[in-house]
Parts: sequence; C-alpha cells; structure tokens
Amino acid sequence: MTNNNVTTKYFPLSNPEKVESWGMSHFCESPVYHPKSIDEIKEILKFANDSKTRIVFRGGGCSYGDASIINGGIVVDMQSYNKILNFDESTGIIHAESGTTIKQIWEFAIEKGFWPPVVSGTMHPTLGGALSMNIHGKNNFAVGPLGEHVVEFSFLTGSGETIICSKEKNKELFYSFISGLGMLGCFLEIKLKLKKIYSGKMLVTPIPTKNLKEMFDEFVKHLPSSDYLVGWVDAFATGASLGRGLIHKANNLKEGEDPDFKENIKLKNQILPSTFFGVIPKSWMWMFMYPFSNKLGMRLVNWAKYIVGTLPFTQKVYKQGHAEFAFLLDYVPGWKKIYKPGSMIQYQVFFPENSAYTGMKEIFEHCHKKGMPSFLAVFKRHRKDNFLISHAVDGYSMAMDFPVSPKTRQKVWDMAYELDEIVLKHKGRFYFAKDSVMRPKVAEGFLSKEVVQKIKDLKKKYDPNNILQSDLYSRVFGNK
Amino acid sequence: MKNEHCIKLENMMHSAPFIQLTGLRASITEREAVMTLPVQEKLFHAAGAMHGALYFLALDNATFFAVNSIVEDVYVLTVDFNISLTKPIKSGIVTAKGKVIDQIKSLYIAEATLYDSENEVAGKGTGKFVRSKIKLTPELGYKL
Repeated sequence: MTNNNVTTKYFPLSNPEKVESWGMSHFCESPVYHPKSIDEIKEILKFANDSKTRIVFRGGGCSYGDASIINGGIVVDMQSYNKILNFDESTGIIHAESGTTIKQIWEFAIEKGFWPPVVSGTMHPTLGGALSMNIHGKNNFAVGPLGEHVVEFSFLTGSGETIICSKEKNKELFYSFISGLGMLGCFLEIKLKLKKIYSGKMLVTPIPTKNLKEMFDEFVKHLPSSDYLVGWVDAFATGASLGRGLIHKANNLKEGEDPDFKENIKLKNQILPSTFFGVIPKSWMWMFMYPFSNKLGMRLVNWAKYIVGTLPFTQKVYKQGHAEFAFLLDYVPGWKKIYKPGSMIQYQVFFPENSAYTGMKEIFEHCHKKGMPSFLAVFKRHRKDNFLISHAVDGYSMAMDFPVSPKTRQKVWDMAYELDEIVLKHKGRFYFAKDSVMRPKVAEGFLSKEVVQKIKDLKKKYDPNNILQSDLYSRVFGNK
Repeated sequence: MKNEHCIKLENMMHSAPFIQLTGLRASITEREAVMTLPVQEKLFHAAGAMHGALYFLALDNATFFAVNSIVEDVYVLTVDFNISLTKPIKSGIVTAKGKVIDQIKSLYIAEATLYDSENEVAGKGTGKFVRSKIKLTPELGYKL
C-alpha cells in the first residue's frame, strides 16, 4: 500500500487508541505501533519521515507526565523489541534490546548474582525509556544515574542514521542521546554493566526523623555508610514537625555474610507477593485505599505511618529482598487509580546542598498556604552528572505527589508555577520524567539558554524533519 | 467504554470502500468517537493542501459514530452538518474527536473538532442525526 511515495505496511494507520501517562492526568488518542525488530523500527521511521508524520517512541510509559504521548501523531511502543541478547558473567555486562524492561533484567540476572546498578521505584521502564530520561535510584548519591553504567549503545537518529556510542566513541553524543528525552532518535541495543551482589537480601535500617532539619542531619550522618538511602516525608505535618518522616537506609551484604545466599537469591524468593497476608489479592488493594484518597484520609494515613515508624519495635534493623526494597511503586498494583478521575502529577525538585533545606521548607510552607499539601513526598540525595539534560545536583530532591481532579487541575498547575519560582530562586533543577507543568522559561532558567539552544541544534541535526515529538517536548521546547 | 457494539461499528466503518481509499481509522466508545486520517497528496486540492471533503469526512464520521454508539439496532443518518475549516493541512495525520451533546426525541446532535499533526484546531463540525430503517447487520460489515 502506498502513502504518497511511501510504500509501507504502516499505511493505512492502525486504529487510534487511548494512551495514558503514568500519572494518568495526560493522554492521547493515537495510532500505536509495536515494532519487534530494528528493521520494523527503521520502516516506521522512514514512513514518518516520508509522510512528515510525527511520532513518539514510548517505553514502559512510566514517565508521570506527557513525555511519551503525542496528540496529533503516532505512538511507537517499543516494549515488543525486548530480547536479552547476551550476558557475560565475568564482566556483568548485559546486552539487550532497548525495549527490555528493568523487570526482565533483574529477573534474568538475580540468580546469577547480579542486580541492575540503578533502578527506579517501579520495575516497568524499558532500558530505552530509562536512558532517554536518565533515571536515578535511591543510590544516586553514590553511583549516579543509569547512563553512567552504560558501556555502549547503538542509536537510530531521527534521520535514520545508526550511531554507536560509548564514553570513548562519539562521547558527546553518548552524553546527549542519554537524557535526550527520545527527541533525537531511539536506542536500539544497549550494553549495561550490572553490579555483583552476594545476597538476595539487604540490611534495612529505619530511622524516624522529627522534622526536616533532622531529616537532613540524619542523611548527612548516614550517607558515607549507606548503599541506598531514601526518606519518606509526612507533607501534612506543620510547625515544629514540618518535614517529619522516616528514612530507610539499605546496605548490600558483603561476600560470605549471607549463609543462605543460594536460597535467598532464587527468583521465587524475590518476586513481590501477589497477596496481602496470603489472602487478599494485591490487585484489590487500591479499592481499600480509595476511601482515603482525599485530604483528610491522606492526612490520617501519613500521620499513622509516621507514628508507627516511631514505635521502638519498628525501628529494628531487618533484612529485605532487593525487589521488595527497590520497587515500592509496584507493591500495590493499580494504586494510581485511587486518584481517578483526574489522577495525579508528581512535582520533583532538586536543590543544591547549600540551599536545599531553605528551599524545601519554603516549598512545604507554600503548599500549606495554598491548602494543597502533597499526598506523598519522598526525599533523596544526589550527585552531579555530565549528561546534556540533567536534573542532578550535588544536593537533595523532594518528589511530591499531588492529586488532580477536573475541578482542581488549574489550581494545582497554578501552585506548581509558583513553586517553580522558589526552585529557580534557589538555583534548583527539575526532572522531565516527572514533569507535567514546565514552561519554556523555566526550562531555560534551570538548564540555561546555551543548553536549550544546544538541544535544539542537535535536534535540527539528527531529526531534520522534526518528526520526533512528544507533548512534553512541544510544551517545553516548541514543536516548530 | 468500548463494548461489542462499538467494535462492530469500527469494523463496519473500516470495511467501507471509500474509507479504505482514504485510510480513515476509528476508535469508538460510548457517546464518543476518535478518527485518525493520514494526509495524502493524492487527496490534495490544486493549491496543495488537504481537500475540504476530507475535513468533512473525518468530522462527520467522528460525530456519526459517536451517535451510532448509542443506537444499537439501526444505522443512523446525517441530516444536517455545519462545518468550519480554520487551518490548511499539508502533512502528518489529522485527528477528529466527536461526542454526542444532545438528544431531542429521535434527533441526535453531536459535535467534533479536527486537529492537525501539531495538535492545533484545524476545523469544527456539528451534525444532526436520525435513526434510519437500515438494520445493523453483518452484511454491512457490522460484525466482530
């Protein structure tokens, strides 16, 4: 069949489908393609270039905002391009297609004694998606973002050229394609170095903190001795308790420290349980959470979580499986449905160390002033990196969930715009995987005019027909 | 919500020869329908942009099938359609989103908006529809 001069099986289009963002507050209704091979990806790209049709490459769809959706274009869902091609146990290097998910990788590697060097709070991002956003984990302060652990990758640019990149070969492109939001092309095959583990369990230490100041102090105290460090914050607390919460510090066991290594490392002992108390299917849990999905309910939930966390018997060091510790967002399947029909956005801010405490205090106080405290807030430590589009700082971040309803949507957006000013005032940064609200002037404000220009120049060079688009890119960088 | 009736309507629409010629594709749910249409040079007017007939095609089908999604026994008919074309379209795909906005006895009113590939509004349409006597049968392509 033909479309103008294009001969391709991708014409006629497939039926439009509703494709949602992770936070379910954005969606598009677009044709969706599911390529399984490099040839199919190339054919879609050729079709898009020849017919000037805009496309967005989508991985697991785990970006909270509109990074992997496109109104007015075609969604290319990469999840079927997902083979693990090779694994070298002597080096820990895994070679996989870019639609391979973090879930596939850890389930493949754990019994061999390996774990992904960086994972997100959910195991469903694809490698390509994770690298386009350059995701970080609860160990960002120690090991940097996922991109730092990539040995080599092949990349198909928007114009159809395949480029091999590593930290030595095409170095500048290595640091641009990773973090490039999928707007310069798509990852094809990726070689990633996994880390060796010597136990299926980690040692987890819970540490309650009375307020934000104590949260910072405890992080400083525990950073040098932690492999992972994450803080949960009760964003409803005010006054002297503002920013109170619970820290979870986790450490890998060293070689020989786990006498049950062979048993603990088995996949069956790592997979998250499908029921609570062995009875209630976890897929039902969100329905029990639904009555609490309002300000009063969430205030109660946050309060109870904090109080329980301060009880002496909950403060003991315990052992926890890697998946159980890492993938909190997968613990209750479908939890986001409690925010339906408007669903939610996440607003994550990154402050340099010297302004982090003041900045975060201002953020919390402003949310209270507006009567919209975050329903869930998470605190992390970070380090700087060299990628072109970087959210990283030598400092701290706070990720905050805000529910959105058709009635409150504009209010939430307006408050986020006000929070933007606080972040920029403190020389803070933002993370596109979480973003739903950023305006062009804010992007220029934290990335700098030079970096924004460089992104646009690279796009012109590697996607001359400007066919790679997402609603996020159009909103922040323009679609012309 | 997409039910069996909506899927049968989609199949019926896609089986029509004129629809196959244009490449129009549908997603139909209760009271709503979304159409996507590839922009093809062979369907341009002399001045080099998509012919207005295609605007009508996408908008009419978006409203028509939004209405037919709530009429489960017979084909509906367009009896009146007002259209405005606000922007020329030259490439990519266009998307028309239609929904039922009113029902007065046996008259259904639906409206649709047409978006270009930059998601900018390129046209709008409002139509009135009535029930016909044509039964929805497999012979029309109304089948799974």
